[in-house]
Amino acid sequence: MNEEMYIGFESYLANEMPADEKTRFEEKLQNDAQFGEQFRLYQETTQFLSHKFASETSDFKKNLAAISDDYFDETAEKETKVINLRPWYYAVAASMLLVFGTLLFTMNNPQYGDYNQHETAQFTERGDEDVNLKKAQDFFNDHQYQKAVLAFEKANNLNTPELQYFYAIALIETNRYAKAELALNNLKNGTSVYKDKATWYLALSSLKQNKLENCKALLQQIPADAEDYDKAQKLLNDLD
Amino acid sequence: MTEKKLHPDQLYIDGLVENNSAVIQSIYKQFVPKVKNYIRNNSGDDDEAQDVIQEVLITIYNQAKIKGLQLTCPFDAYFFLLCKRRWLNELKKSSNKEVTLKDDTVSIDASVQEMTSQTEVFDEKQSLFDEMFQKLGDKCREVLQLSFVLKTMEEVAAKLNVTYGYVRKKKSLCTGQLTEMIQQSPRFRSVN
Repeated sequence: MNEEMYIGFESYLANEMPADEKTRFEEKLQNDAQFGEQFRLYQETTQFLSHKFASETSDFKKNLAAISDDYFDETAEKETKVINLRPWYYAVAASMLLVFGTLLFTMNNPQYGDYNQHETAQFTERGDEDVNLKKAQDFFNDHQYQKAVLAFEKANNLNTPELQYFYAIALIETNRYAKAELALNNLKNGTSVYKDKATWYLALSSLKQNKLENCKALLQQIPADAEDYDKAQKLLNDLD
Repeated sequence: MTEKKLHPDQLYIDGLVENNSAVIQSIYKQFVPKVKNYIRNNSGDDDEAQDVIQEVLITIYNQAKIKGLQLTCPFDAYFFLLCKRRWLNELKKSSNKEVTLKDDTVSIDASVQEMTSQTEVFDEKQSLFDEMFQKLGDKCREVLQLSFVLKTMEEVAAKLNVTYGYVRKKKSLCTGQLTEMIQQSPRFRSVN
């Protein structure tokens, strides 16, 4: 086993590598295909383990098991008791209808998913750039936002408005709103071409979190000459 | 614009990712009866249906969390096909069971096929990772588990009563060993 290699992978992923070593490491990632392959598998394995042991994962499984048990118990009971329907079943049925009605109502409202057709990222055309940015771009365009975020976070430099913009979209897609909104607010308060686009995505972030008043307030700030103005007006109408 | 449009049913995927009980309940109400009937009509019972459905929903959740699953077809068709194929595999495995299949020869939309096979490849890979993890030594499993459950490697070191340097190194080597076991598995080629 190549112990040094794995120790290197770990310290790179933990962002604990000294700068000069990091540069050499990244060069090797770019130039040595087999090394790159090993690293990607190491990274994927880490991601697998981190998901496997996340408390979120076990919370989900527990909740799912409980809902599943309820559903199967309830339907089994119904199947054996179709004949002696007691009066309170009607009350249950009526309230279920109410719940479903409310659900249907909310489902007719505009959803983030109606608006998340993002533009294609093209920030690494010149070929001589950071391997992580190239990956971030490819994952982003392939809608693999989780992976895009990871790649962005490993990039050497995320300081241009363009990178901040695409990074923020990937963050919204993966539900990391606080981080996304931090980046977008900086763009919104800046002077780059991403200024109004950032406002639009701040609104979408609110929409995805169901903060509809927030969303409306942001949409109203988008000026008439902005690229997203028409979409913003349509969304405003649908929200009212 | 994206080349493949996201289906509005993505809301079910997002609901799973957010562990949203109302959405999960509505998946059971709307889509599970059809799966349950299919399994019942094909040599299965309610318990088996319940297991298959739960496993499929966990797979979808995993894929959505790790790969950001983007649904481009109706959830109903995708979910049903996943459950159906998982059940058929179960039946094949327990071939001592007498199988009477009532197969519907309805043609399946290409986008549903594609989404389904993506999910199956993902699941295959997850199960390979899982299987190899179980084959690691006790010490490796313990160190890896703790290093993802506890917040810092310092805590892991304290818990195991060893030095920080030792757990860091151990974590790297155990993860490395796991990657080697995965690569050496004959199944690796088919999922990578």
